[in-house]
Amino acid sequence: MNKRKLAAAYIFLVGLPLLALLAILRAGSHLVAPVALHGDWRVQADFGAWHGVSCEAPLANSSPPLLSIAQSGTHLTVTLNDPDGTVLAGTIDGFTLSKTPFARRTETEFARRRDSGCLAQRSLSLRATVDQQGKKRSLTGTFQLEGCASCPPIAFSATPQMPTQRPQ
Amino acid sequence: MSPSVTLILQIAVVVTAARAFGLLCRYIKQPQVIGEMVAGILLGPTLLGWAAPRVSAVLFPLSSLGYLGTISQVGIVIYMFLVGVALNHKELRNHGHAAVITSHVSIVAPFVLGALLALFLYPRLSDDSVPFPGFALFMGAAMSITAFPVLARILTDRDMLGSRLGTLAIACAAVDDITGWCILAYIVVQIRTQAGSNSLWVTIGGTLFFGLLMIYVVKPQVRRFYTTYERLGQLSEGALALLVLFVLVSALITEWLGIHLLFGAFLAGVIMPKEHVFVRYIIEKFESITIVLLLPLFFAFTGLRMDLHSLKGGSMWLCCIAIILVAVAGKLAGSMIAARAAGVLWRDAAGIGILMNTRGLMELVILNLGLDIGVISRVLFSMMVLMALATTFMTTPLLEWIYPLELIHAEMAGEEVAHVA
Repeated sequence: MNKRKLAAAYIFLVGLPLLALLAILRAGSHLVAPVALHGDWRVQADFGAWHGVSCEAPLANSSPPLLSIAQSGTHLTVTLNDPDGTVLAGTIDGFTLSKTPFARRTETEFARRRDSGCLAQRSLSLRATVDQQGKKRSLTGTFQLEGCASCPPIAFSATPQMPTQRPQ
Repeated sequence: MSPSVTLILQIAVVVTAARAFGLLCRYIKQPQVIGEMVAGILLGPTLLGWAAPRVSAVLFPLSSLGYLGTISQVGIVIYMFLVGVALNHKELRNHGHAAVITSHVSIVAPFVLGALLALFLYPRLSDDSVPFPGFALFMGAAMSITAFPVLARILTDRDMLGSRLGTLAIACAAVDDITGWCILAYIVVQIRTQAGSNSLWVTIGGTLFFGLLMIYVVKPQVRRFYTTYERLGQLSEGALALLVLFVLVSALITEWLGIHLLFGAFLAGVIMPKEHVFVRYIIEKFESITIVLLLPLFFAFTGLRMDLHSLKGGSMWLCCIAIILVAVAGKLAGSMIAARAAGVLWRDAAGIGILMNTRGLMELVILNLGLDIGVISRVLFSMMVLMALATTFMTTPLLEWIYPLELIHAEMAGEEVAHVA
């Protein structure tokens, strides 16, 4: 292969892709990624209204109540620091956080709950809005025990426990 | 259980699983390292944590992962030193223009495709704490890496290390790794300085100064290790201790400068003397304990950070398949087309593409680094680990298909005859 052909091949196979890379980086600068929520959040709420209900209420006895959020794009997994280690899975829709119940308990624990008369169908849901002031972020929203008529929704707010850093 | 008992139990389980799966892979004619990687993944939440959560909680309690992570990090520091020792960029000179163009395209093509894929993945699997350029460059670097040591092992197993194809692939992989790690160092600097852990100019200036110091001042000094070896036929325990100290200090300096421990260890290896017998001696001295004990711990630590159950729904699996396809298209097809354009025969060009597509352990090192600095999420980490496994796993069967052993032996015999003539 002569040098001229080689130079042409080099420009075509290396030079042009590098220009394409610059174009990609430029195009990507307009993309908006979901708001970062990963990390531990300290919850401020009055769980008093849930005391005395027939089943233990998540977070009601945790001190301080915490949400540990693991994030991958719009997908979130929230672990509560209650004795059961309740795990919720959900998504970010714009700046709204909605959680659907996601049981990750062992079968034995489910059985215990049914035997003790707890409502097996009862589930926790969480809906929150992300408030952003500069670099400071906070969550405000409600916890709701679905399947429990005597458990009113509980309003809460949450602030990052540490500067937001992805958990390892 | 006390932390030390837990750790010893973990090591015993991990080493046993790694050996068992490694042997299984050898049985199916795959590199042993694939079995070790799979064993590590299966010990994590993907299988053990899912099928036997209580056993997993006893064996790998969260509180113990710090110890396991630290030991595996020491293993990777030594391993990166050995990778640097084995690299010899001068080999590229022996292969002329074909090697230059192939090695450069085999970096650029997957890099650009990785960055292109980042346009799709960024809004779906990242968040606004990671800037797009950092994310895109990381994806590019992760796509463009080649597992130099695994590649060398595959070539050795198939008696191809001395063949035209083997030497060309090794030379290209060496250039790929050096370039890939330089790009990665830049990305780490960019991400870490944005996080405010160090000033950008301190990091860049310090790294450049350190690099030049290593090449122009330290490199002539470390040649003394070789002259001692040449004189005595071995290195004394004191000299080996000094060598370990040199690697650790180099690693600590790069960590302090704000890049990463691994870069210092790698650089220390790169500047070591490249005489074949000396390289072989150093690798033999350090390799056994690293491969038998420390690397399986790293695979297990990687497996504990990976959870395939986190890939929920068709869209996530679609992303995973897209990652694998882009990785193969960029590296395999890119290298093959480049080699062909440089005048290499189609069969050899395809062989180069297949070999360069081997990512293996080096990919896991980069992915763990990406997870550590927060540039990728755990879900993306899991997808990329799958990609590393898939691209490494496909190498041997594809190579066997393109380059059957009989053909290699016939070609090697032909080359010898031509050489004698």
